[in-house]
Amino acid sequence: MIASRTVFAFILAITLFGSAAFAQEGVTRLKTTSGVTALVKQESVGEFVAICVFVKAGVAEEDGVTGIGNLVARSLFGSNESHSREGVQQSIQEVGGSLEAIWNPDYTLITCVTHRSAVDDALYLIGQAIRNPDFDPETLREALKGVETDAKREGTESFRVAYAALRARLFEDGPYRLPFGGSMDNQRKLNQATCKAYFNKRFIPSNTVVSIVGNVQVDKIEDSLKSAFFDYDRTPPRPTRVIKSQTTADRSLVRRTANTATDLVATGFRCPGLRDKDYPVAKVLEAIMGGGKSSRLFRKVRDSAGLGYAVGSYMPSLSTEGMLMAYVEYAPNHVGADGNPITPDAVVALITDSVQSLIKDPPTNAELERAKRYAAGVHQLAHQRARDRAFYLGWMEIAGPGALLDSDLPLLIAKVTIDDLKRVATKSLAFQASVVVTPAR
Amino acid sequence: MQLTPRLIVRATKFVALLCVSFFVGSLPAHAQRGNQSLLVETGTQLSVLPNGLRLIVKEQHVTHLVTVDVWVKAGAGKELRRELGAAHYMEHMLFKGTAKRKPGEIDAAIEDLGATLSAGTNYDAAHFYTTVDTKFTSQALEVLSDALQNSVLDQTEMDHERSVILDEIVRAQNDFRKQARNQLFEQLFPDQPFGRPVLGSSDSIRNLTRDTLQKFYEKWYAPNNTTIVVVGDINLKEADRLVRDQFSTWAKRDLPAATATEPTSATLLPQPAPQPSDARLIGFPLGIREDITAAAAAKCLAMLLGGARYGKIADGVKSVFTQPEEDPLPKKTLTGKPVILQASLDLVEVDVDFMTNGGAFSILTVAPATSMNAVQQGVVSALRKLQKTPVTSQELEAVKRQAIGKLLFASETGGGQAYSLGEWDARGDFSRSEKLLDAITKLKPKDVLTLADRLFEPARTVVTDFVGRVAR
Repeated sequence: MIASRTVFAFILAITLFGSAAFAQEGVTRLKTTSGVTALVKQESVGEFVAICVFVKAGVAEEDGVTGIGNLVARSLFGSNESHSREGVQQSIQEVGGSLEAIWNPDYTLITCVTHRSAVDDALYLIGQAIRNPDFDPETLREALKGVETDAKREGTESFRVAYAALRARLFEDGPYRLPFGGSMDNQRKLNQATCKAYFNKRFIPSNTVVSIVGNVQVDKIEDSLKSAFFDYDRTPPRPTRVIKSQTTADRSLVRRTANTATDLVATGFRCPGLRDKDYPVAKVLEAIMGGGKSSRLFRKVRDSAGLGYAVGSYMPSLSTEGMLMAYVEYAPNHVGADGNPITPDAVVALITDSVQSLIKDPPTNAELERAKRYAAGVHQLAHQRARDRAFYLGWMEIAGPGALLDSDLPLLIAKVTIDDLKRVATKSLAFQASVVVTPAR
Repeated sequence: MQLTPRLIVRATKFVALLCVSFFVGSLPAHAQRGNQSLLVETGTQLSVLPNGLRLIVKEQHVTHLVTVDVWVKAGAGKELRRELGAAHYMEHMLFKGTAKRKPGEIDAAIEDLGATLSAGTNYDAAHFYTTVDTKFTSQALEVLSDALQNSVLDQTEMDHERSVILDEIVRAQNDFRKQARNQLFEQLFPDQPFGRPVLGSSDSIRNLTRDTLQKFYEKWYAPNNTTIVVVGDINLKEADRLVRDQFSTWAKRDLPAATATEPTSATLLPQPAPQPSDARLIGFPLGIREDITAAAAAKCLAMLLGGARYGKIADGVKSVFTQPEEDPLPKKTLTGKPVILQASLDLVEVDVDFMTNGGAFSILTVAPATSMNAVQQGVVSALRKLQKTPVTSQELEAVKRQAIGKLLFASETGGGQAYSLGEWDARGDFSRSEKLLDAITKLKPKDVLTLADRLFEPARTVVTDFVGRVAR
């Protein structure tokens, strides 16, 4: 029944896709009796509905068992109390096949994009997964394989290697210093019992936020949520102590290798995180530093020095403590303007000059205005898919500042002044950690 | 099945929905060829300016955004051997200044609008695109118009960009899949530009002169070789007005005569690799230009075969490893070492590349080099099975859902739709972008069988071991 319905849904989606009037958005906040927060953004058009379920089960909630969150996230859609592993997989196909669970340093996220007629079934399936998964041995074995593949892949991606190295320098003592996803050694020791114990402690209503975006009716969603989460009622454990991390005093260049053909040099800085009131200022700072092709980094490194194809900045979505990263990826035999091969130290100097210019030469009004429009524009463009609209809504809620920040952020960005930038740049850019990742021989 | 009240309500609802979908799907197409405007069923419209510039508009008011994507049929497939890399180089240089704007000012002008300007090059075309707030559509078109018509190709900027492109070529080696495909195309399409890398080679980029680039620009960057795709919160009338404002003075030019490029027949021959390789490619000239049913079948065939664990190739490989008596394996590898009978298939990637030369169908397998010949036997066994036995309806429905899901996901944004429309237009007919969904929906097992029978012909198969670093 569900299968044939999905085919109908696809046919309908094909024929109706694109016909529309303006979507009128408004977010309704719901709370189940057990304490799950749900945010429903009702849109008047579209056939697809995106569901994001966030559970605060990130690196800070692992209690030292690094990697357990990642393994549990990968095992949520194995067998459960009501269905076999095959049955669950079959049901996932029936709601469109896009249901997945991923682990993130701040949360575990379940995402599903489905036809609006299948929302009820999708929520039921998600409810089953976060109420009573089995963590059967076969599922855990599969999950472990996935972790292993991902770990191997990380070794081939110089950007990820650099990111991990910079976190270790910038967040000494804090949870973000740890390898995201955990180590294989740790994860091989985990079993059904340890996974269940962790799951029961962290997957609880007060740690859960559901965000739903699409052409849905709020009252129907409320009914579906009640039914999907009816006995999801575990009580919260004692709150996790938040450890404020220190930045290491070691300022030497970190050297790493990866299975790549290129060199990558990156520098990182601590900056206001999502919960900080200066987060919008940090977004503008990032835009001036390395956002887009008119940023200082791009102009200095790529346009003027002709160095690197991949040049830019990255501000990861970390909620408690923020980080800003500037990077350049280039051929190891790249010859500089003087006719000699360029050294990683010279690239670090080039990036440092560009970044530190933000303190020495504060932005002009024109530069500030462009950066504000760019930062706000990027935020707007990141909301084109229903899945992304659901993500931002839920992420802002689970991470602390609240769902409203999603719509307020462009307004807050518009209010950023040059003085704000000077203040945050002076504080954030005072210490930098640098890493060079070279090809493994 | 027990019909509960809930199921009955759902069934009724779906019959109603289906009726609506059939009604909308059967709306007649409007053709207004007299005034050079064509309205196709799905609401996508085409307008052609007197200078030959094509404008495709898809009106969509889901967000207050408009994507402008300019496609110039000046891809790597248009390059002469001495121009290798020019199409992609030109893509870089288009942002490097005009008589009116200095280097950096083209990007800055778009970023002033809160957007980014991006570009890409493939064998058929180069394209330049941005997504802006509706109110900035006119400004975005003005910037693109200036860049396309008035590029100065400054020598100093060209030299700066040369080192950037050389870095890009090295960076491309990080993706062994792309490198492997380049290697396959070289053998599938020898003596054709489609057999040469889009980025060019380090040598060709070092030696490319401004004069060569200037000639390439003058030869191909013309309104009658260009299509502007506009998707989003704008109607045809307004888009047409804005485009005419910016592009109507661009003078039409005579284009070089198209040279026919036919896929080459190759022979089935596992080429001994210089060293045992962990990656092997099997490729076939696709030979699809206009047949949309065949295109849909190719998409589904790729999905049926792919996947390291659950696809038909994985099944074929498993059967080889588990039934050595019935399907004997070569006892020795090319290096003379014994075959290790261990089913270890790390990766299977099946790709369909639609191109104006007919395109390619490629299968990449990654496994320990010692198992590779056995893996190939498994691949061949899977392909032969598909030539003999039609897939079941259930199997086909499952891959159709996946294929449709992927296409719909790709076209959820204005940028995704503009890309698809522009890419298909560069290949000859933008309406195939939307017809493909319909063709997949209607696909029958016999269509897949027909394609498999034609495609997997031993005499037209190329097998090659990837020479290079396999990062997995």
